[in-house]
Amino acid sequence: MGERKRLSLEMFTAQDLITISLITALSIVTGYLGLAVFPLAAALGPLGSVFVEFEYVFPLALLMGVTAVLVGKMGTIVLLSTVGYIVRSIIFGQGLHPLSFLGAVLGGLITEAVFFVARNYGTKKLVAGTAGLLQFVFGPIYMNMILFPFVYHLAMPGLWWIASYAIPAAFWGALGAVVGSIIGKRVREAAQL
Amino acid sequence: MASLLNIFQYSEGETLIHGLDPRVKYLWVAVVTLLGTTLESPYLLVALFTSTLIPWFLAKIPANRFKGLVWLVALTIPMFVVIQALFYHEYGIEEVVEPTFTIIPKDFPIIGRLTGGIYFYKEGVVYGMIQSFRMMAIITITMLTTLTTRISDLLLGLMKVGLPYDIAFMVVTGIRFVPTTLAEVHTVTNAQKARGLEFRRSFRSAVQTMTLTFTPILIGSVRKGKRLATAAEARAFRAYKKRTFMRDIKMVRGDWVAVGLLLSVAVVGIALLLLGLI
Repeated sequence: MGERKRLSLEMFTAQDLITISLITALSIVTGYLGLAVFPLAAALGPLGSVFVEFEYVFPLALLMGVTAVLVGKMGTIVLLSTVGYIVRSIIFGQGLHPLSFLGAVLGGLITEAVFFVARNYGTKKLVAGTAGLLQFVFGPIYMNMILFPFVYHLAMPGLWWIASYAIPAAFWGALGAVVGSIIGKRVREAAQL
Repeated sequence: MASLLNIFQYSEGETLIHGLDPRVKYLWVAVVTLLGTTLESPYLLVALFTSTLIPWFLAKIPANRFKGLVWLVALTIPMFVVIQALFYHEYGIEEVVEPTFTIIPKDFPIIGRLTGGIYFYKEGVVYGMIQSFRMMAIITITMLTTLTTRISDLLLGLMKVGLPYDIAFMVVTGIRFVPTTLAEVHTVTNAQKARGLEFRRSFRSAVQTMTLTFTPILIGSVRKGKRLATAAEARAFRAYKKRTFMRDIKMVRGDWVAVGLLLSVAVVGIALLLLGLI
């Protein structure tokens, strides 16, 4: 067995850090543009969540998949989630709630764990897909992070309401992570990394 | 698009707001967020939102930047009103609320059965307005922070509140590149359109569009990252554990006065809330 490395920020090179930052900027942009579809989706009731999650979760899971492949180090997704959380808090004020922080970190940790398994033990695309399935757990929490002032005042939404977000989140998240892994590989080759 | 790009970029100025220490601005954001999420009275929420607009005028934010905020308000308010008007009864509200009118009856084929009917609630419209003012107050003050603070000061401010340099550097790089990325999305989308890509509202087309748009943007970002990393390393990025800066930030008397004012507002607001007076 090799020597166990201590997980720290120093493991990441300047290029890794900058790549994560640039992808964070892209995730803000996709989230921002995705906002435009929300009124239309909401008008469709619980069915609308299918579209909402496609606009939000699919691009975010895709970017997570891309980042995991491009940077390829343990802790990448947690770093991406944490930086994304702080950037969102600074420019939109979203996420200054403890639940949002929990959503960001927990979501990052869960996805990280799956990508770690994917990198070390499993078939990359297949296991990366389960990262999306685990969004079943953090999908609704992530929704809190995006629209926290709105959700915060709803007290505890009903199970059906959560499921109507979690099921599409899991589906789009899984698909996003798989597509992201494929795109990440293509980007790595094209950018000659 | 131009107004969207503008709201994330620093707006040059020598005003009182520009001169505030970034830590004071972070505290301001925290206080507005605290009050924005705890206040219930619609009048107080409108007052809070108005109080976040005043510094925009004090900071003499140019009209073209203001457009971005107006665009956001125009999008947010109808969005919240529509959501609340349609789903008011589903959000854990205990009292029985009668719908104002029915949009889709519950016996309507498929959609009606799946959703249990879609109704319009006038109480939801009011509630939606309250929620949008809550959210807009927070967004307005956070946007002002990025508009009136130099990116280097944002970095220093984050480090002074205890964030490790690496994380602060990533956060600031992320913020700095939001407008650039937005512009790139615009360029790539136009280029794809010029090549004959049609943006249809079907699932297949959406995935294809996303892949065709994301891939060149990501390749561009990675290449840009490489160049930036080379530049950063050439300037001794992480060469020493303790970093020094050409320009430092210091809290002056005005900043302390602002801190005092903000803390007083927060304490009074929360105390009145706890006492049930507001």
